[in-house]
Amino acid sequence: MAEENKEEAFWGIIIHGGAWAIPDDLVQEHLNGINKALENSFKLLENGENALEVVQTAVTILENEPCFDAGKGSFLNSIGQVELDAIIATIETNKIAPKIGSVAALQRIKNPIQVARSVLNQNSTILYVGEGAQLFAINNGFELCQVEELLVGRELERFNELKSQLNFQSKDAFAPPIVPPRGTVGAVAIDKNGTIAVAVSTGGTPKKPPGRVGDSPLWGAGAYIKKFKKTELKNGIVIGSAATGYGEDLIKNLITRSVCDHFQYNQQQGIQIATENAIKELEETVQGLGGVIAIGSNGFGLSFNTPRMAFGICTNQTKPIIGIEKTDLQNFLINSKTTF
Amino acid sequence: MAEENKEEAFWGIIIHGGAWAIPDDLVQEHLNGINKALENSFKLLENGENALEVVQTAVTILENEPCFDAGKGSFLNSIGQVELDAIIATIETNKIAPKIGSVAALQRIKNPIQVARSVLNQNSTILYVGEGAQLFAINNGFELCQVEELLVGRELERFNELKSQLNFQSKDAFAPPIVPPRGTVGAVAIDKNGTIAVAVSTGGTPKKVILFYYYFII
Repeated sequence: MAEENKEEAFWGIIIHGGAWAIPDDLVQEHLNGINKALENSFKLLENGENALEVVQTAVTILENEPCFDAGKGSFLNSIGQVELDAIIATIETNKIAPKIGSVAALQRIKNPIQVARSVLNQNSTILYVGEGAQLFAINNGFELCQVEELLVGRELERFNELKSQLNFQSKDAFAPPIVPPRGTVGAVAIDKNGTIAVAVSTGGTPKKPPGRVGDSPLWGAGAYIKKFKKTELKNGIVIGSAATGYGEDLIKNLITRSVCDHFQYNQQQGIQIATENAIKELEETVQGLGGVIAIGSNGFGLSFNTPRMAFGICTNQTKPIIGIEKTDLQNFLINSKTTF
Repeated sequence: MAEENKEEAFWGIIIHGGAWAIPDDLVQEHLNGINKALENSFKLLENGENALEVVQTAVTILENEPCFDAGKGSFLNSIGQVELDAIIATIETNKIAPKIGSVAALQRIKNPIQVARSVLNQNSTILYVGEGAQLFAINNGFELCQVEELLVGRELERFNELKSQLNFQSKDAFAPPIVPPRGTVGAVAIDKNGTIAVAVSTGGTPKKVILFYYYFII
């Protein structure tokens, strides 16, 4: 059981910067980006900021870091566009239903998570896609950026090459991409009031077909949060999860819903075991690859079956933990075993 | 317990044509549409057709029936477009993972469930949205229809009105719609091999201008 400070409920934040075969030369950039997002968002939590603001801040920072495949540093699709997806959600105090805002295939916006937040604030539509998502953004005060502002390095070069060609479209535009996914970013936080929130943002798979949407903006796939009613578990217990990896597999498995279900039906074993069970089930049922992070009223957890996943955790009961290797995960588990 | 034929596993189909305050004067049309889809798809199952074909057929029939808010008979969005969503999925024999195909905000396609089927067949992407979904449809042999071909009655009138206006867009385009949703259609079937499949199609929620116009007409 947790060595809880009996005067203070558990609160904290867990973030990730993508589960994939992150190359050696990008490891340090990833850790730096995770660290920056973690420090800033943990400070906000310490100061009593609400979970929704905190996850939005964390993901905005990660969107702005070019090494992650979200916001700036995203990948071009197969016809030279940048189409971004994002989702943000919370369950307010004394409420059970989540408030959700999401966008998919959104073009020319620097921080899709902020547009997702505007969708959430409207408390009506949950998901806007494509042109309509862009119209919504414009109607809500967002400025369109140039595509180049979202690109760095090789992607910027590729964009300039494509611009000089007369015709982007070809049959190959819809060939299944053979390039594996990259670094979706995500954050889940529980604040000093015990309120939970989740945020996820992605640029999607490199050279993806236009209009392709993966798991990230879809409820129960890329992100999920739940509050348990009195009859299920204790009153007001919350849990939330964010995912990254091969989007289609994560959709088939509804991976973040799976994490919360595994926790719900096996609460004694805790959140870490729930994330491990969800990844096992992903493997067994769809041969999927990816990673999940989770945090709740009683703890936190993460699990991944890709070679690496950039992650960071900081709570009022654990010092900051930043990692990217499975071995970092083991250190984290040792840490978490002593506190939970 | 079901009166099961002990020599044969359970198979069959269940369909829906929308859950909302369906008005009395539309009840018979709805029942007729359901009946047509049910008869046709059950016959296929009887003949040993696979569940995926069966649910696609059922939903295609419902898309083509104008009284349901899917395919033909869909509603305009707040800026005069028809944006359609559909999904289809199955789990094949001896497999555990589903195969899924879906589209969202797809314009100018008569039968979105068939495009969703093409997405499923490709066995790669699960969801295409917006312009990309339309591009995918064109790339896979689907023809674009005129918007008017998807509209009937009052929606067709509204579309012609809007066409004559210079500018569709307004701040109101993103005001929360106060009109309740209409009749999404769906089908789930299990075939003689015990294979399951599901299909859903919708034209989405109509916007508030429609509701006011409807009340004026009454």
